[in-house]
Amino acid sequence: MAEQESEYVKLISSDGFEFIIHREAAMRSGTIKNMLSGAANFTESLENQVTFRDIKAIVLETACRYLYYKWQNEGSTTEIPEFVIEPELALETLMAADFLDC
Amino acid sequence: MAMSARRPKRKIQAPRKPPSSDPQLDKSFDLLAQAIHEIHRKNASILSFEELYRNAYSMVLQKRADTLYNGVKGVISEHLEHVAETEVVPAFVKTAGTDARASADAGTSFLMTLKRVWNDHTTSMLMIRDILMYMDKNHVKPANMPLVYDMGLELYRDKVIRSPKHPIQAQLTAVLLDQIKMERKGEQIDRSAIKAAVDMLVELYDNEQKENVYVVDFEPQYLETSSAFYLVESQALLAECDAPEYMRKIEKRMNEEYNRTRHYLSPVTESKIRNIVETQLITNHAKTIMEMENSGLRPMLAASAIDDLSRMYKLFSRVPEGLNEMRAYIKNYVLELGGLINAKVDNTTEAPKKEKDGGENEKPASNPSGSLYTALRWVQDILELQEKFDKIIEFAVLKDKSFQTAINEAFETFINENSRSPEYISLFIDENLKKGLKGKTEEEVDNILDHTITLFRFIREKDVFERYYKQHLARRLLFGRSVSDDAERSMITKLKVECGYQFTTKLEGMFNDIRISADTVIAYKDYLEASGMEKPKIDMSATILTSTFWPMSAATSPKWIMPPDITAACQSFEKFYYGRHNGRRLTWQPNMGTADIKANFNTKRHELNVSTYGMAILLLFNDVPEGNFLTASDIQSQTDVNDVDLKRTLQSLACGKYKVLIKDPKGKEVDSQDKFFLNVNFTCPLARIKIQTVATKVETETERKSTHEKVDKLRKHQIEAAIVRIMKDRKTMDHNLLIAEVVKQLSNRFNPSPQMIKKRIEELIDREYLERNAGDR
Repeated sequence: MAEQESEYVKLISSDGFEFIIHREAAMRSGTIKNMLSGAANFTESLENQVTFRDIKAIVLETACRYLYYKWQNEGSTTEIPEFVIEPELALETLMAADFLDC
Repeated sequence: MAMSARRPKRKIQAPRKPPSSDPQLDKSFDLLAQAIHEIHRKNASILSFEELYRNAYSMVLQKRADTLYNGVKGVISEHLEHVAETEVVPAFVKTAGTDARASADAGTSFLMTLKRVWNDHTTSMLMIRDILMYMDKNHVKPANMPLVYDMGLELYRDKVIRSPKHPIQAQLTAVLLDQIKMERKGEQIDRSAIKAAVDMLVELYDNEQKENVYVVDFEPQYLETSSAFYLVESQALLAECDAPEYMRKIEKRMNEEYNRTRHYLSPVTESKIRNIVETQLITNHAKTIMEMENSGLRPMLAASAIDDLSRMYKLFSRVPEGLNEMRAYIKNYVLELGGLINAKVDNTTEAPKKEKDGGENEKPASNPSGSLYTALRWVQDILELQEKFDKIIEFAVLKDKSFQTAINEAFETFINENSRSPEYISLFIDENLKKGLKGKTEEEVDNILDHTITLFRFIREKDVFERYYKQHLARRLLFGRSVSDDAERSMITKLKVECGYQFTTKLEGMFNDIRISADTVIAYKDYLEASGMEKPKIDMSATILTSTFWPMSAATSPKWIMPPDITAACQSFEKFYYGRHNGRRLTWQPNMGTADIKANFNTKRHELNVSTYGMAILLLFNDVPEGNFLTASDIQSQTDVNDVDLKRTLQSLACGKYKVLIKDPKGKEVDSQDKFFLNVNFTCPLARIKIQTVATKVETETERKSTHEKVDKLRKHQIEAAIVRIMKDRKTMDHNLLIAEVVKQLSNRFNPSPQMIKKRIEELIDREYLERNAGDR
């Protein structure tokens, strides 16, 4: 972790797209959380960016959307709106979710 | 994505990549093993988490999690063994030949090394756990194996702390115990180092014993050495300190132990170590401490050493039997002191007789007769004792109820050992209400009375007390000796609170009589004015007493020959009184009255206030020519006053402060042949003189007997009344239950003996109040 923890983190897909999302949202993924915080001083936490060599941009985008969605609706007592996933992406998204622990 | 809640969950089979060839997998593991080495070398920043995670992830997906798990385990244990050998072992304390300070420092540095190794290990394990999180979640947990982190701790336990190759554990325990020993001896040690080691041991878990390693490996040895240490310590302290010092020292020790446990040992040890210290320092020596000569419990009590006592109480309250022993000891001590006070009474009751022979008292009024003095001294001593123990209870033992009870029991026991206690206490109150209260504020008065009441509470024979109190109260009221009406009334109120309405009705009745009498006398005077009758030669006021309230026997008027003037006055009053109240009978009690007479002496004229008998005697001398005398038997025959009263009156006239009569031969005892002259040369600076009857305040043996007979008679009635009351309610009742109930009902007045009750029951059966159950034998 850098001394001044930046508010945003950069996620990079296997095909080179960069997604800059809020740290709080990113922390909704167990895997990303471990990468960026915890006892570890891995490269990712130093550079404040994570490269996912197995996740395509289109899936990573869905994942980012979902992280925000989760962040917003966490602890909500009212009806939670449905999170829509393109059927053709469902399978890959599911695998990414497993990987990202979210 | 767990939140797509509404959509029916379809099980979607993840597309499997064709099983990759082995080399690639080995490559994955090699990569991870390499990474773990780097982590151990603290080089994590060159590693990409994503890459490691992805490799572990794919290994798990490819069903190679076991290989991964065991491989990681192997890498870590290899590392730990290496660390144990290269870092921990070299830090061992070489005890041989070094002095204590140096070995302590070496101990500290050993602990610090261990702490560093431990911290490194936990940090590494956290990182490894993060990398292998996917495996933890999807493989280890479902298989119920120790999670990666826990596995790391177990490895640490087995490879480092309990290393089979190196005596690390023994070394660690030895160092810890050594450090603690140093601290107990007053040396400074590095507490944080110990704290770290202890925390480490607490975190390691022994699966077989289901306890952490601290409890399994370290604690028993710690407790054992502590026990041994304090065994020696206590003996050393006992040998060189007195009791207060010893207690101060062990109190300090206990605080130290408490702080030690709190600061750097596990809280679970607290109760155990406390137990050991308490056993070694207090339980095993409680008796010795209390019985220490010149400094034990007894001298503390004697000196009212509140601080020491309170310390002892606090210390002893920690161990199970401590307070009981302390309490019993204090109780015995109180009993002993009480016994001494009682013994004083027994000794001094002999003394007054001698005093009477040896010379006259110059001022009998200010110097109370010996036995009265004894009585007052007795009560005063007890009050002082009580005050002392009240203080001890309040300040030293936190108002512990059980101590209060024990001390009260002791008081009760020894107060009732003195059969005269009811009389003495009543006398004490009498004395205080008569003169003692002069010049004291209301609060002080109240205070004294309150204290007396607490003594009263201890008396078992309350009815005897009542009897004496009535007698004394009667004397106070009739002779107007009472200093303060308020004080009298407040005393009655206190008694009422203590014993209930019943107990004081008669006492209150006595007050009423006095008040009504005053009105009656005024009415009588008016009546005399109004009727225009010939007024009696003397000015008379009478106090009409309800016979049941007052302690004197009302049945008969004591016989005496009334001087004619008095007879006339009495008759006049009787006439008036019978006219107002039908069916009442007046019995004159000359032994309770006083008279003012004017006497012409050679030089001066004095007004004398004497008892009614005294008046009768002095009137006789009106007819005796100057220089002539009357013998005691003459006086007796002319007045017909009974012996005891006569003697007493003559003593007060001839031997008191004011000698109106001259007695020949001189001396205190009155013999029937003694001659009495009128002291015509009597002088006194005062015009009005009050000649008090020499009152034997404390009862003589015979009087006491009669009092007790009276009390016994009263008790009979009370028992019978109680029996009838109970039987009216219950109709039929078992004999023993009845006795028990009677005892219970009467216990606040006196303790009736079962025989006495039995006798009463038989009596009642004879008189056909009760009946034996026909079916019973």
